[in-house]
Amino acid sequence: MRRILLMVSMLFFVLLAVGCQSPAGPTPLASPVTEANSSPTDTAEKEPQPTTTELIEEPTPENTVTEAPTEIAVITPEPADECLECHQDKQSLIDTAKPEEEQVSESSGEG
Amino acid sequence: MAPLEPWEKVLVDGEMFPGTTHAMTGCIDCHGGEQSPDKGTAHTELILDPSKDAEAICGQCHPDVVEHNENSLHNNLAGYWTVLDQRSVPSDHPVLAEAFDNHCASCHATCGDCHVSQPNLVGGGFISGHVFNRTPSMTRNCTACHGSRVGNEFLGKHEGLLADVHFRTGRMNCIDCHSGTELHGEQADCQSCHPGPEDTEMPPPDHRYTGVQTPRCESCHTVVATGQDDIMMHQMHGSKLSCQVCHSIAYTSCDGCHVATSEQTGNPFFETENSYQAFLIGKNPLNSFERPYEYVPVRHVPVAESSFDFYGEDLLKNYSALETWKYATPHNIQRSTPQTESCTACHENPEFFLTADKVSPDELDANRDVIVENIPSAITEYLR
Repeated sequence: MRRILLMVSMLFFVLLAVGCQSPAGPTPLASPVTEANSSPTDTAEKEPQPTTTELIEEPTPENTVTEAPTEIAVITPEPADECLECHQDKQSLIDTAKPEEEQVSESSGEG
Repeated sequence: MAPLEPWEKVLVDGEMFPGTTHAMTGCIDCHGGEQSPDKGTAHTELILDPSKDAEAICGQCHPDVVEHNENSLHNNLAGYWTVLDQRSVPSDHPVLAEAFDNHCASCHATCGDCHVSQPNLVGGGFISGHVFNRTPSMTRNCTACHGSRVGNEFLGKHEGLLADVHFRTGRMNCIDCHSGTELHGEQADCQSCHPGPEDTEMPPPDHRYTGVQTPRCESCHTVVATGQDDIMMHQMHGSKLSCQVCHSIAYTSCDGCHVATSEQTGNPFFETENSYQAFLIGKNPLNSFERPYEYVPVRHVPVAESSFDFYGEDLLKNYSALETWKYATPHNIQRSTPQTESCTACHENPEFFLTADKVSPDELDANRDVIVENIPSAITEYLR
């Protein structure tokens, strides 16, 4: 008797599990008739709820872009060139320039 | 040319330079120093002009140019020693070397002095914000050094004297005639112009007037060289006269240059007694296959027997071994000159010729080969 009860219970759980899986099929979005007949309100309700399966199987351009930041993050930025940073900055060069002594030439006549 | 401010000399063009080929090499790869925001640390063991060691730095990418560097007169200044050697004796060379280092060596030009910066002689500083210029600037590089004679003549800076026709009407600049090949010291080889054996490379120049004439007028004015221009004077005179004999006007000559170092500052200086504009034709002291002319313009160079007396007595013992009125190629060419006005402008007219009376008595011996003893006779003599 116990064995029969166990088997009935297992059958019940299997049927329950099969019953729970059936709504995850492609039927709702795959039917153009449904989309064409549906009101704007219906479409608006369905669009925010794409399934995981759809994202993997049909990557949109937006999906590709979302992968890009990962690639950029891998590149190591070049270290700043301290020489150029200073030597491109006029004010910095003025501030740090050594004053030059005015040299008066003692030469005379054509050189 | 106004001197650059200290900051201006070292300001890198942030828009132009980073995109250039030379910016692909890091600063410290050529200039040494260290990457640091602190100036003192960054400039540790800084190399101001890396091209002083052209073979090690420039030669990495430009070996075909740098391999000739040792022959370049801009680099080795061989022309000075060619002359000093002849006017002196070997025992005096160490003393003359000291004078040379003080007064002449500043004319040495590195790759950077022509392609990156103004020469130190005029204070240095970047020409184009450290962008390397393939073609040097005429006024900020070439005539910065070659100014008092060549530059002033070519650009017409002497009152009453026209600029060179190549500049005045052609807007030509130095490198239109003086090629990189010449300026970099690349030796001429005979096969460039003539078929022949392969081992006929010319020896490196030891003076600007040795070897093949580069440039030479006939390279562009080919019809003159081949006698096809229908100008009778070209056919009559042929190679007896250098082109400048008829097509130059008055140019600068100098007398009595003396050098010394200042008692106050220790800096070297010179004094030239006299300079003047003159045009004089002399006998060609460099007569050769390359310069076959009988007559050439001659320019008085500022050397004097006592030029180096500050460094020692009688250092130019062979002063008279070379002329003081030198073979000249004035850079003030004109189509029409006083000489081209008529035949009698020169024939039987001593005015244009270096006759003995125009030479200082103590230089007569030195100039014996260039003094014109017999003025070309009147044209009627040729018609007989």
